[in-house]
Amino acid sequence: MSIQEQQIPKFKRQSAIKIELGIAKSDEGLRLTVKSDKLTKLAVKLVDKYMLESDEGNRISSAFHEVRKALSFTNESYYVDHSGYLTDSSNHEKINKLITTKKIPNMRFLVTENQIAEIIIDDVFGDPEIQEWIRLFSKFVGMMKKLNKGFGLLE
Amino acid sequence: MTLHIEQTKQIVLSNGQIFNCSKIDRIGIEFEGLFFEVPNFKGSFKGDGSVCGFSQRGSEGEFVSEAIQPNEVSEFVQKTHPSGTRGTSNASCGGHVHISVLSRADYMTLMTEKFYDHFMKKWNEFGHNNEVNEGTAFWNRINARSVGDYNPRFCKSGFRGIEQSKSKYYYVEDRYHFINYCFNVEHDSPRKCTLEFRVPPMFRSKSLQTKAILEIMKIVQEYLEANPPQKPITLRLSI
Repeated sequence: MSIQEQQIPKFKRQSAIKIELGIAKSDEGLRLTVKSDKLTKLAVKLVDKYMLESDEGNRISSAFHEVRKALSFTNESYYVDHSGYLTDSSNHEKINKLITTKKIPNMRFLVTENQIAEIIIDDVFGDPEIQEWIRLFSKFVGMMKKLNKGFGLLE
Repeated sequence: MTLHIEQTKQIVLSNGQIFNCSKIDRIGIEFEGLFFEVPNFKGSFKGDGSVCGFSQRGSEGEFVSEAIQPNEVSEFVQKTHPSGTRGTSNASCGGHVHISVLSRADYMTLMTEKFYDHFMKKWNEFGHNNEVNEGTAFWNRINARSVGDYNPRFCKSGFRGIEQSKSKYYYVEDRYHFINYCFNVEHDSPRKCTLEFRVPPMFRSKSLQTKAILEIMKIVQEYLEANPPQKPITLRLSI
């Protein structure tokens, strides 16, 4: 093993998924931006894992149920997502509806091949609602972290 | 550098000053009262159950404007206000003002308790500065006093912006507050996108009514200029 290779130890931290969530009030509504390189990959793997566990009749934790619900794929959207549904206006409309009616930070919008996902919700929000978005987003990311650790999905 | 401001956003005040309401999109005005003759200018008349207590003959209800430009307010008041030979009003009547703003971010800035409190402070000052008499509808509405034909149930104090902004329906109890954030209401139109100031009464004088509407526009404009949209919130996490 060369000296150079030894200087690059495989810290667990190196595989950490870094996420940056931006929430801004804009002229068009509430603008949400997510920058992350591997988050999409993890989201897709989590849904695949969920389906596998369900098919095998294994016990699914409530945290896993909740994350799955937040990601709220359907088989149809799962495939559409891979072709970059964020540019499709009809899907954009659907996501808007989901987010505003469910009042949770529906994380479907993370699932795009782009590293930067952006969505504008054409509505108005009060500051306590925005705070609730941040709280829930952090909660879901925390849950995804635990599940990833448990299943070792991105090793 | 030349600053271009649309003429429709410029208002010449009675003291000759020019007031630019660049943040405001359109205005809607509802005049409640008894109309001896129904106006025929940029709006339509409809009945209103909260308008009551008249012994004279005429049409009881409200004249509702179309979405008008800020610089059309004075003309609208001149041609539709129920006073003089055109009509009359009493304490049961409100002079509601709808305002839409050009930016959703600005709407969110107004949809806060901070703005609500600021507005009420300024509205009180307006009453004092214009020497509005004690015991009149202006003060009875602010103090939620039930006097004569006035029922404070239709115009309560308190900020209910978030609850109001979620409703698609107009006829809900939550709207009966000093400010009604009826952004998503789909009544007679796809989506209102306005905030409704329900606290102004019907003044007997057209000039005071005009002043009151312009004052509300001024409060909104100045507040938005002083409170630009907040910087984006950025949350950094890792898995």
